[in-house]
Amino acid sequence: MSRVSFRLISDKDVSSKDDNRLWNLSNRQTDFVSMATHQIKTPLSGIKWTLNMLLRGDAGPLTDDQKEWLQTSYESNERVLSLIDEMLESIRIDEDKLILEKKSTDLVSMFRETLKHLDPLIRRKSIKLSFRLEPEEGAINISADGQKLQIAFQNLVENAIRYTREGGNIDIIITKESGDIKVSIKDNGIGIPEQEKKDIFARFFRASNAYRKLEKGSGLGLFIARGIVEKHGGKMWFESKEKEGSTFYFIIPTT
Amino acid sequence: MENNKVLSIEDDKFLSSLVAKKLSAAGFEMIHATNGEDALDMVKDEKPAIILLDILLPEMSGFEVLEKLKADEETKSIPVLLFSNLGQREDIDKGIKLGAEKFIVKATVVLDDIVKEIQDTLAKK
Repeated sequence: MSRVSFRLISDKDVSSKDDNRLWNLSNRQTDFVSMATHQIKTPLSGIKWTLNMLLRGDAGPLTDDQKEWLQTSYESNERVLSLIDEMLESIRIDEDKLILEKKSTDLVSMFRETLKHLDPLIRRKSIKLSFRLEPEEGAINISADGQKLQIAFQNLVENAIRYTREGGNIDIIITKESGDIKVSIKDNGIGIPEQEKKDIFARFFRASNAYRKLEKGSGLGLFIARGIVEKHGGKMWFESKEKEGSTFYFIIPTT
Repeated sequence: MENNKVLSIEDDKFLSSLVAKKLSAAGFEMIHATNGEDALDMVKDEKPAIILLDILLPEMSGFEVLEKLKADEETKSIPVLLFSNLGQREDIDKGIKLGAEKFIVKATVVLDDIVKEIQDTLAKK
Protein backbone atom coordinates (compact mmCIF):
# COMPACT_ATOMS: atom_id res chain seq x y z
CA MET A 1 0.00 0.00 0.00
CA SER A 2 1.61 3.22 -1.11
CA ARG A 3 0.33 5.37 1.67
CA VAL A 4 2.20 7.25 4.33
CA SER A 5 0.40 7.58 7.59
CA PHE A 6 -0.12 11.22 8.42
CA ARG A 7 -2.91 11.95 10.80
CA LEU A 8 -3.44 14.70 13.26
CA ILE A 9 -5.26 14.37 16.50
CA SER A 10 -8.85 13.43 15.77
CA ASP A 11 -11.78 12.86 18.10
CA LYS A 12 -10.70 9.24 18.41
CA ASP A 13 -7.64 10.39 20.34
CA VAL A 14 -9.70 12.31 22.84
CA SER A 15 -11.38 10.28 25.50
CA SER A 16 -13.60 13.06 26.79
CA LYS A 17 -16.57 14.14 24.74
CA ASP A 18 -15.98 17.68 25.82
CA ASP A 19 -16.33 19.59 22.54
CA ASN A 20 -14.61 22.62 23.92
CA ARG A 21 -11.57 20.65 24.90
CA LEU A 22 -11.51 19.02 21.49
CA TRP A 23 -11.74 22.37 19.78
CA ASN A 24 -8.89 23.75 21.87
CA LEU A 25 -6.77 20.74 21.16
CA SER A 26 -7.34 20.89 17.44
CA ASN A 27 -6.83 24.63 17.40
CA ARG A 28 -3.52 24.25 19.16
CA GLN A 29 -2.62 21.60 16.63
CA THR A 30 -3.28 23.94 13.68
CA ASP A 31 -1.34 26.69 15.41
CA PHE A 32 1.51 24.30 16.05
CA VAL A 33 1.62 23.21 12.42
CA SER A 34 1.34 26.82 11.17
CA MET A 35 4.20 27.77 13.43
CA ALA A 36 6.30 24.76 12.44
CA THR A 37 5.81 25.42 8.73
CA HIS A 38 6.77 29.04 9.28
CA GLN A 39 9.98 27.99 11.02
CA ILE A 40 10.84 25.58 8.21
CA LYS A 41 10.17 28.20 5.56
CA THR A 42 12.70 30.64 7.01
CA PRO A 43 15.86 28.69 6.10
CA LEU A 44 14.24 27.44 2.88
CA SER A 45 13.65 31.06 1.84
CA GLY A 46 17.33 31.77 2.48
CA ILE A 47 18.34 28.77 0.40
CA LYS A 48 16.03 29.92 -2.41
CA TRP A 49 17.53 33.43 -2.42
CA THR A 50 21.10 32.11 -2.28
CA LEU A 51 20.62 29.67 -5.15
CA ASN A 52 18.90 32.37 -7.20
CA MET A 53 21.77 34.83 -6.61
CA LEU A 54 24.33 32.18 -7.56
CA LEU A 55 22.34 31.28 -10.70
CA ARG A 56 22.18 34.94 -11.67
CA GLY A 57 25.96 35.05 -11.49
CA ASP A 58 26.03 37.41 -8.48
CA ALA A 59 29.06 35.51 -7.14
CA GLY A 60 30.77 35.19 -10.53
CA PRO A 61 30.31 33.21 -13.73
CA LEU A 62 29.30 29.54 -13.58
CA THR A 63 30.16 26.51 -15.68
CA ASP A 64 27.27 24.71 -17.40
CA ASP A 65 27.49 21.86 -14.87
CA GLN A 66 27.37 24.26 -11.94
CA LYS A 67 24.37 26.01 -13.46
CA GLU A 68 22.55 22.73 -14.01
CA TRP A 69 23.19 21.47 -10.47
CA LEU A 70 22.14 24.76 -8.93
CA GLN A 71 19.02 24.86 -11.09
CA THR A 72 18.08 21.35 -9.95
CA SER A 73 18.67 22.35 -6.32
CA TYR A 74 16.54 25.45 -6.81
CA GLU A 75 13.68 23.41 -8.26
CA SER A 76 13.90 20.85 -5.45
CA ASN A 77 13.78 23.63 -2.88
CA GLU A 78 10.70 25.04 -4.63
CA ARG A 79 9.07 21.61 -4.42
CA VAL A 80 9.70 21.45 -0.67
CA LEU A 81 8.20 24.92 -0.25
CA SER A 82 5.06 24.02 -2.17
CA LEU A 83 4.80 20.70 -0.34
CA ILE A 84 4.80 22.60 2.95
CA ASP A 85 1.96 24.83 1.70
CA GLU A 86 0.05 21.78 0.50
CA MET A 87 0.48 20.05 3.86
CA LEU A 88 -0.80 23.09 5.71
CA GLU A 89 -3.73 23.44 3.31
CA SER A 90 -4.59 19.75 3.67
CA ILE A 91 -4.57 20.06 7.46
CA ARG A 92 -6.93 23.04 7.23
CA ILE A 93 -9.24 20.98 5.03
CA ASP A 94 -9.00 17.98 7.35
CA GLU A 95 -9.91 20.12 10.35
CA ASP A 96 -12.59 22.03 8.45
CA LYS A 97 -10.69 25.27 8.95
CA LEU A 98 -10.43 26.27 5.31
CA ILE A 99 -11.66 29.84 4.99
CA LEU A 100 -13.09 30.94 1.64
CA GLU A 101 -12.93 34.53 0.48
CA LYS A 102 -15.82 34.62 -1.92
CA LYS A 103 -16.27 37.30 -4.52
CA SER A 104 -17.63 37.49 -8.04
CA THR A 105 -15.34 35.29 -10.13
CA ASP A 106 -15.33 34.62 -13.86
CA LEU A 107 -14.67 30.88 -13.88
CA VAL A 108 -13.98 30.68 -17.60
CA SER A 109 -11.22 33.27 -17.71
CA MET A 110 -9.78 31.81 -14.49
CA PHE A 111 -9.65 28.34 -16.11
CA ARG A 112 -8.12 29.75 -19.30
CA GLU A 113 -5.47 31.58 -17.30
CA THR A 114 -4.58 28.34 -15.49
CA LEU A 115 -4.22 26.53 -18.81
CA LYS A 116 -1.96 29.30 -20.10
CA HIS A 117 0.20 28.86 -17.03
CA LEU A 118 0.37 25.08 -17.67
CA ASP A 119 1.07 25.49 -21.39
CA PRO A 120 4.84 24.78 -21.14
CA LEU A 121 4.08 21.41 -19.49
CA ILE A 122 1.43 20.61 -22.11
CA ARG A 123 3.81 21.46 -24.94
CA ARG A 124 6.68 19.52 -23.42
CA LYS A 125 4.60 16.33 -23.67
CA SER A 126 3.02 17.31 -27.02
CA ILE A 127 -0.41 16.81 -25.45
CA LYS A 128 -3.45 17.85 -27.49
CA LEU A 129 -5.67 19.79 -25.11
CA SER A 130 -9.16 20.98 -25.91
CA PHE A 131 -11.23 23.35 -23.78
CA ARG A 132 -14.85 24.12 -24.53
CA LEU A 133 -18.02 25.42 -22.98
CA GLU A 134 -21.43 23.86 -23.47
CA PRO A 135 -23.87 24.89 -24.68
CA GLU A 136 -22.14 28.17 -25.57
CA GLU A 137 -19.02 30.28 -25.04
CA GLY A 138 -19.10 33.21 -22.62
CA ALA A 139 -18.21 34.25 -19.11
CA ILE A 140 -19.57 32.34 -16.11
CA ASN A 141 -19.64 34.60 -13.09
CA ILE A 142 -20.23 33.00 -9.72
CA SER A 143 -19.51 33.96 -6.14
CA ALA A 144 -16.47 31.88 -5.23
CA ASP A 145 -12.94 31.94 -3.88
CA GLY A 146 -11.26 32.16 -7.28
CA GLN A 147 -7.75 31.63 -5.97
CA LYS A 148 -8.70 28.39 -4.23
CA LEU A 149 -10.83 27.08 -7.11
CA GLN A 150 -7.91 27.77 -9.40
CA ILE A 151 -5.75 25.50 -7.20
CA ALA A 152 -8.40 22.75 -7.42
CA PHE A 153 -8.67 23.03 -11.22
CA GLN A 154 -4.90 23.25 -11.64
CA ASN A 155 -4.31 20.14 -9.49
CA LEU A 156 -6.71 18.13 -11.68
CA VAL A 157 -5.22 19.33 -14.97
CA GLU A 158 -1.67 18.79 -13.69
CA ASN A 159 -2.59 15.21 -12.82
CA ALA A 160 -4.07 14.71 -16.28
CA ILE A 161 -0.85 16.00 -17.87
CA ARG A 162 1.34 13.99 -15.51
CA TYR A 163 -0.40 10.68 -16.16
CA THR A 164 -0.99 11.04 -19.90
CA ARG A 165 1.63 9.75 -22.30
CA GLU A 166 3.44 11.94 -24.85
CA GLY A 167 1.09 13.02 -27.61
CA GLY A 168 -2.00 12.07 -25.56
CA ASN A 169 -5.30 13.93 -25.30
CA ILE A 170 -6.93 15.98 -22.57
CA ASP A 171 -10.47 17.28 -23.07
CA ILE A 172 -11.94 19.83 -20.70
CA ILE A 173 -15.64 20.62 -20.88
CA ILE A 174 -17.50 23.19 -18.82
CA THR A 175 -21.26 22.73 -18.73
CA LYS A 176 -24.03 24.77 -17.15
CA GLU A 177 -26.42 22.27 -15.65
CA SER A 178 -29.58 23.41 -13.83
CA GLY A 179 -27.93 26.08 -11.72
CA ASP A 180 -24.67 24.18 -11.33
CA ILE A 181 -21.39 24.47 -13.18
CA LYS A 182 -19.99 21.09 -14.11
CA VAL A 183 -16.36 20.70 -15.10
CA SER A 184 -14.98 17.52 -16.62
CA ILE A 185 -11.32 16.80 -17.32
CA LYS A 186 -10.81 13.70 -19.44
CA ASP A 187 -7.46 12.17 -20.28
CA ASN A 188 -6.37 9.03 -22.12
CA GLY A 189 -3.50 8.36 -19.72
CA ILE A 190 -2.53 5.45 -17.46
CA GLY A 191 -5.83 5.36 -15.53
CA ILE A 192 -6.34 4.19 -11.96
CA PRO A 193 -6.13 0.49 -11.00
CA GLU A 194 -9.56 -0.84 -9.96
CA GLN A 195 -8.52 -1.91 -6.44
CA GLU A 196 -7.03 1.53 -5.68
CA LYS A 197 -9.99 3.66 -6.72
CA LYS A 198 -11.42 3.81 -3.20
CA ASP A 199 -8.24 5.42 -1.85
CA ILE A 200 -7.59 7.96 -4.56
CA PHE A 201 -8.78 11.00 -2.58
CA ALA A 202 -6.92 10.00 0.59
CA ARG A 203 -4.08 12.19 1.78
CA PHE A 204 -0.64 11.09 0.57
CA PHE A 205 -2.13 8.23 -1.44
CA ARG A 206 -0.51 7.64 -4.80
CA ALA A 207 -1.61 4.89 -7.15
CA SER A 208 0.94 2.11 -7.70
CA ASN A 209 1.12 2.75 -11.45
CA ALA A 210 1.83 6.44 -10.75
CA TYR A 211 4.77 5.39 -8.59
CA ARG A 212 6.06 3.03 -11.28
CA LYS A 213 6.13 5.90 -13.77
CA LEU A 214 8.37 7.81 -11.35
CA GLU A 215 6.21 10.88 -11.82
CA LYS A 216 6.65 13.58 -9.23
CA GLY A 217 3.63 14.23 -7.06
CA SER A 218 2.91 14.83 -3.41
CA GLY A 219 -0.25 12.73 -3.11
CA LEU A 220 -2.03 15.78 -1.70
CA GLY A 221 -3.38 17.37 -4.87
CA LEU A 222 -6.66 15.46 -5.12
CA PHE A 223 -7.36 15.68 -1.40
CA ILE A 224 -6.94 19.47 -1.55
CA ALA A 225 -8.90 19.83 -4.81
CA ARG A 226 -11.86 17.90 -3.42
CA GLY A 227 -11.72 19.79 -0.11
CA ILE A 228 -11.88 23.13 -1.91
CA VAL A 229 -14.77 22.05 -4.13
CA GLU A 230 -16.74 20.62 -1.18
CA LYS A 231 -16.17 23.82 0.82
CA HIS A 232 -17.92 25.61 -2.07
CA GLY A 233 -20.89 23.27 -1.61
CA GLY A 234 -19.91 21.20 -4.64
CA LYS A 235 -18.71 17.65 -5.15
CA MET A 236 -15.96 15.81 -7.01
CA TRP A 237 -15.83 12.29 -8.46
CA PHE A 238 -14.15 10.35 -11.24
CA GLU A 239 -14.42 7.52 -13.71
CA SER A 240 -11.32 5.62 -14.68
CA LYS A 241 -10.08 2.52 -16.41
CA GLU A 242 -6.50 1.36 -16.10
CA LYS A 243 -4.46 1.90 -19.29
CA GLU A 244 -7.36 3.80 -20.90
CA GLY A 245 -7.57 7.00 -18.92
CA SER A 246 -9.50 8.94 -16.29
CA THR A 247 -12.17 11.61 -16.21
CA PHE A 248 -12.42 13.81 -13.14
CA TYR A 249 -15.61 15.78 -12.61
CA PHE A 250 -16.61 18.51 -10.24
CA ILE A 251 -19.73 20.54 -9.71
CA ILE A 252 -19.94 23.99 -8.17
CA PRO A 253 -23.39 25.38 -7.32
CA THR A 254 -23.94 28.89 -8.64
CA THR A 255 -26.17 30.01 -5.80
CA MET B 1 22.22 63.62 -1.41
CA GLU B 2 19.10 61.53 -1.57
CA ASN B 3 18.43 59.29 1.40
CA ASN B 4 18.80 55.67 0.32
CA LYS B 5 19.12 54.15 3.75
CA VAL B 6 17.22 50.88 4.28
CA LEU B 7 16.53 49.57 7.77
CA SER B 8 16.09 45.82 7.76
CA ILE B 9 14.45 44.43 10.91
CA GLU B 10 15.08 40.69 10.86
CA ASP B 11 16.09 38.30 13.63
CA ASP B 12 17.34 35.49 11.39
CA LYS B 13 21.06 35.90 10.72
CA PHE B 14 21.08 33.92 7.47
CA LEU B 15 18.25 35.94 5.92
CA SER B 16 19.51 39.31 7.17
CA SER B 17 23.00 38.70 5.77
CA LEU B 18 21.56 37.85 2.34
CA VAL B 19 19.29 40.91 2.35
CA ALA B 20 22.21 43.14 3.38
CA LYS B 21 24.47 41.69 0.68
CA LYS B 22 21.90 42.06 -2.10
CA LEU B 23 20.69 45.54 -1.16
CA SER B 24 24.22 46.90 -0.62
CA ALA B 25 25.19 45.59 -4.05
CA ALA B 26 22.14 47.38 -5.46
CA GLY B 27 23.46 50.66 -4.03
CA PHE B 28 21.47 51.02 -0.81
CA GLU B 29 22.96 51.93 2.52
CA MET B 30 22.00 49.14 4.90
CA ILE B 31 21.29 49.29 8.60
CA HIS B 32 19.99 46.37 10.58
CA ALA B 33 18.13 45.58 13.79
CA THR B 34 17.25 42.17 15.21
CA ASN B 35 14.40 43.26 17.52
CA GLY B 36 11.67 45.88 17.77
CA GLU B 37 13.11 47.95 20.64
CA ASP B 38 16.45 48.47 18.89
CA ALA B 39 14.68 49.10 15.61
CA LEU B 40 12.53 51.92 17.06
CA ASP B 41 15.62 53.63 18.53
CA MET B 42 17.47 53.21 15.26
CA VAL B 43 14.64 54.75 13.22
CA LYS B 44 14.88 57.96 15.29
CA ASP B 45 18.67 58.14 15.13
CA GLU B 46 19.26 57.03 11.56
CA LYS B 47 16.11 58.24 9.76
CA PRO B 48 15.97 55.49 7.10
CA ALA B 49 14.19 56.14 3.80
CA ILE B 50 12.36 52.82 4.01
CA ILE B 51 11.91 49.90 6.43
CA LEU B 52 11.84 46.19 5.68
CA LEU B 53 10.04 44.61 8.62
CA ASP B 54 9.77 40.96 9.65
CA ILE B 55 6.72 40.02 11.77
CA LEU B 56 7.76 37.21 14.08
CA LEU B 57 10.43 38.92 16.14
CA PRO B 58 11.56 38.34 19.73
CA GLU B 59 9.46 40.19 22.34
CA MET B 60 7.79 42.90 20.26
CA SER B 61 6.12 41.63 17.05
CA GLY B 62 6.52 43.35 13.70
CA PHE B 63 2.86 44.39 13.90
CA GLU B 64 3.54 46.21 17.19
CA VAL B 65 6.63 47.88 15.71
CA LEU B 66 4.53 49.01 12.73
CA GLU B 67 1.82 50.34 15.02
CA LYS B 68 4.34 52.40 17.03
CA LEU B 69 6.00 53.74 13.86
CA LYS B 70 2.68 54.87 12.45
CA ALA B 71 1.55 56.44 15.74
CA ASP B 72 4.64 58.66 15.92
CA GLU B 73 4.61 61.96 13.96
CA GLU B 74 8.35 61.72 13.47
CA THR B 75 8.30 58.27 11.87
CA LYS B 76 4.85 57.78 10.40
CA SER B 77 5.74 58.88 6.86
CA ILE B 78 8.53 56.31 6.46
CA PRO B 79 7.25 53.56 4.16
CA VAL B 80 7.26 50.07 5.67
CA LEU B 81 7.33 46.86 3.67
CA LEU B 82 6.28 43.86 5.74
CA PHE B 83 8.51 40.93 4.84
CA SER B 84 7.45 37.66 6.41
CA ASN B 85 6.58 34.05 5.73
CA LEU B 86 3.21 34.52 7.38
CA GLY B 87 0.93 34.99 4.44
CA GLN B 88 -2.59 34.20 5.53
CA ARG B 89 -5.22 36.67 4.39
CA GLU B 90 -5.78 37.85 7.98
CA ASP B 91 -2.05 38.63 8.43
CA ILE B 92 -1.92 40.57 5.16
CA ASP B 93 -5.11 42.50 5.95
CA LYS B 94 -3.84 43.34 9.43
CA GLY B 95 -0.50 44.60 8.07
CA ILE B 96 -2.07 46.79 5.41
CA LYS B 97 -4.64 48.13 7.89
CA LEU B 98 -1.82 49.12 10.25
CA GLY B 99 -0.27 51.17 7.46
CA ALA B 100 2.27 48.96 5.67
CA GLU B 101 2.88 49.81 2.02
CA LYS B 102 2.98 46.17 1.05
CA PHE B 103 3.08 42.66 2.46
CA ILE B 104 5.70 40.47 0.82
CA VAL B 105 5.86 36.74 1.52
CA LYS B 106 9.52 35.74 1.74
CA ALA B 107 9.30 32.30 0.20
CA THR B 108 7.41 33.53 -2.86
CA VAL B 109 10.03 36.06 -4.01
CA VAL B 110 13.73 36.31 -4.79
CA LEU B 111 15.82 39.24 -3.59
CA ASP B 112 15.75 40.96 -7.00
CA ASP B 113 12.04 41.42 -6.38
CA ILE B 114 12.80 43.16 -3.08
CA VAL B 115 15.26 45.52 -4.74
CA LYS B 116 12.52 46.41 -7.23
CA GLU B 117 9.86 46.84 -4.54
CA ILE B 118 12.12 49.19 -2.59
CA GLN B 119 13.00 51.19 -5.70
CA ASP B 120 9.32 51.43 -6.71
CA THR B 121 8.20 52.46 -3.22
CA LEU B 122 10.88 55.13 -2.93
CA ALA B 123 10.04 56.43 -6.42
CA LYS B 124 6.42 56.96 -5.32
CA LYS B 125 7.43 59.08 -2.32
